Amino acid sequence: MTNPASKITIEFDDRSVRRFMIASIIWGIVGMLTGVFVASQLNFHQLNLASCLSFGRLRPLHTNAVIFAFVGNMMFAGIYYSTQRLCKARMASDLLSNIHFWGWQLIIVAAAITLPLGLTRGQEYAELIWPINIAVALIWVVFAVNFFWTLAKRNEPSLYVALWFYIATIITIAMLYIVNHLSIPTSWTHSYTIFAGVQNGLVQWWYGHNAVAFFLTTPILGIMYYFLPKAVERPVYSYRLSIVHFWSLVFIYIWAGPHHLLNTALPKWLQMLGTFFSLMLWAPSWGGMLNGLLTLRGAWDKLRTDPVVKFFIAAVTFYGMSTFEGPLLSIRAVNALSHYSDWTIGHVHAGAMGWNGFMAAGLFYWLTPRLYGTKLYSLAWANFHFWLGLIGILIYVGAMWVSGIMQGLMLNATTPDGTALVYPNFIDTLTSIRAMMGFRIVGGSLYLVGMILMGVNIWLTIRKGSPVNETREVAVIERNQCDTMGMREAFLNDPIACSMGGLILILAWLFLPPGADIAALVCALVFSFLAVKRFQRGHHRWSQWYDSLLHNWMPFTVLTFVAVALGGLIQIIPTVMVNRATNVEDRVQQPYTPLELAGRDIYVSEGCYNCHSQMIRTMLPDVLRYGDYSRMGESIYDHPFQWGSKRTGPDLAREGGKYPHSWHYDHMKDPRAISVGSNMPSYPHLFTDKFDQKTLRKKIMVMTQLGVPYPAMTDTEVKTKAVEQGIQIVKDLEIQGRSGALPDTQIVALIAYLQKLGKFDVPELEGKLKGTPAGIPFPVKPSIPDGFRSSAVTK
Amino acid sequence: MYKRIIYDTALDWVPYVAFGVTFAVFAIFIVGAICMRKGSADKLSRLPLDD
Repeated sequence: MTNPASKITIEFDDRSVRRFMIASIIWGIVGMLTGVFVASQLNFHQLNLASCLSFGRLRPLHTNAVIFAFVGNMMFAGIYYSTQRLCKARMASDLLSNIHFWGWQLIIVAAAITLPLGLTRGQEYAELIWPINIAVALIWVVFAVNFFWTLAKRNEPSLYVALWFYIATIITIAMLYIVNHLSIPTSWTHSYTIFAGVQNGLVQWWYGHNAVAFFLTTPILGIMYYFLPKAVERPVYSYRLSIVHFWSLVFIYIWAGPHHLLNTALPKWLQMLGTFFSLMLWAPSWGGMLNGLLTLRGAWDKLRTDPVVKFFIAAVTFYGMSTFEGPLLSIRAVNALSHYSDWTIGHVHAGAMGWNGFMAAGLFYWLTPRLYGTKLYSLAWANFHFWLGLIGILIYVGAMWVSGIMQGLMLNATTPDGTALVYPNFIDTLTSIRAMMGFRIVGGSLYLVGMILMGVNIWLTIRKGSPVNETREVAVIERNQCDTMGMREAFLNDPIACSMGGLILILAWLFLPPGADIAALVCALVFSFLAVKRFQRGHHRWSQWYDSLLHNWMPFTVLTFVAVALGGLIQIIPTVMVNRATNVEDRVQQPYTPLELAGRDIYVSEGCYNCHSQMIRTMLPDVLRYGDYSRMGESIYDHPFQWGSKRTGPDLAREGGKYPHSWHYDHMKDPRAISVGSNMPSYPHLFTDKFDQKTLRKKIMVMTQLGVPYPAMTDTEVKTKAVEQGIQIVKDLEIQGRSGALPDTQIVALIAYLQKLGKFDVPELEGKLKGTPAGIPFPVKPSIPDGFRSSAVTK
Repeated sequence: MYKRIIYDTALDWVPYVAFGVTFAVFAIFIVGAICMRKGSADKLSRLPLDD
């Protein structure tokens, strides 16, 4: 029991909370201003004012600023404030808090400088170059140490549910970030990811999807579980529901990444897993939403008067709507329409502006008066901000729904006999959504004005008050009241043994050869029966073990890690292991020549993947429009993969050889001279800037290290090959009437790359299968298992 | 086995396993939540308000 004599007065570190809050508001305005600007560039190509201000380079700046700068700083403000109160302890180290704050801001500044310069890894939300990646990992570790150290010295034995969500956030983001950013540097500003093609796609979207889950959702849910009860002055509706919400969400979310790659070359079983787990996410997500909304029981009148409650409840409602829409978009048939379209953009913004943005606003309006010992400068302004923001989101999301569905329907429309496209010209579909893209600018601008209004309101509040660090008298608990569970007690017990045993037997059933798999299944059933019997005899021990977990952060953290790691391992390890040329049956990509590789790096650097995909889906309209569907082996040497996630322009997977060099030359100089109505930026700098020859050999060496079959080449040979191919392209251009091009310019390298897209070799076996029967418009892969394929060929 | 992982659609069993695993997770934690003592749940839920 607590000894009343051992009370101490502690002063919370609220300075860090204030700093993170102010940083979040500033970066939020910057990120959203960039968002409105890039949205405008889509309608007014003239706004691509310079190479460093082109859409392809600024769009990653917008996404990174909103995710990592705005929501990141907001999350840290909420976590620092609530963790100290829930632990009844000051943050463990002021030094670590300072390093965390300033380190994070430096990372953001570094991102704001490097991204417009075209220094990028070319993967969405993972664009930052490798030195910044290392800085992010280090600062995240600093944050983790500070957080877990605070947990270790806490004066409250129990771990409230908000802390669970923070724990899940910290360990999962560390895991995702490190794995997805594994790269081999070629220079101080460039690296190649160790993953290629389909494995890169899977790892990227395992990361990308779970960045949404564990950066934009779980920490904000923790904030909801702490601040919403505070705002409405009543406990959360159901603590029991919060337990189910946490574990099911953490366990299921991690599996859902493949829903970003539906209808692609990703193995079908992974697509099925992605769809299935996405659909099942409905349950925990809505459980959490209802828990939040029902917390307001008996206090709904506050919704009318208190802007903080307004923002929180609207945010939770948007959380519910977004988590309804997400699984919907993960159904393959729906995804066939929505993917690569503005519908996805609308979905993301409903989550970012509605859920994250409104939670941030509610949090800041609640925190500021308390952190500065005064009243909010203007409640009326806060209410006005709410309505501006709400209307802004609705206009934005509505416009994107209409735009996405309209363009998706047009792109997928075929004639009644299914042999031709109704709208073969891509530009027609772009022209038809221009008005909606205009409404997007209006909606985004309204939201931005609301954010600026909040910034001014909070600034005036700060000026009215003065910084206050809350002090509180707390009872110091004896160390034997919490964190007493040893590893043996935590992991060698009935619940863990039964779960692991069952899992191993189920895996044995799935993967053992015929005969042994049936034996494993029988064992699994017997084991389950015995486990149930054991639970009946000693269920009090099971629940006691679970109660103990809530007082012991270390085993709790390890178990959370196991839950999140499991899904990733089962999906990623087989795919990483098998994505080798020897395992690919039908097509193997041709490696890029030195010049083509240089051109590919320019393509990545300019952010072309933001508007162009390189993945023709297994869908008739895609095949009719772009050519034969993409195979897994066709991007096997692509570090990074460039499958893309949005088609503002057409797919480029089979662009190679489609047009003469002169077409690309003219198109890059002035896209509208070739495609009337195009919104693509012009790239005049490509015609004068030289491609990078200095690091080209190093790049080839790294590619070889990663398994791309290049012959051994000296530096001179690499440069000679590149220039020789450049000279050939220049000669071809001259023949086609385009004189003046130089063989070492970026445009020549880019043309070389674009002309290589879609080139592949056919392994011997598939060569026999190559002749397709008459009447089939494109090669169809036989849907028979491997073991039977050779006999089918013989017959 | 590797080629099977790439090329087999495995659609006949993946959904059942996925459903089974998820059902198990839900079931375990629902049981855990129900078994939780009411006093303990009430105390925990009031932690944010314990200023």
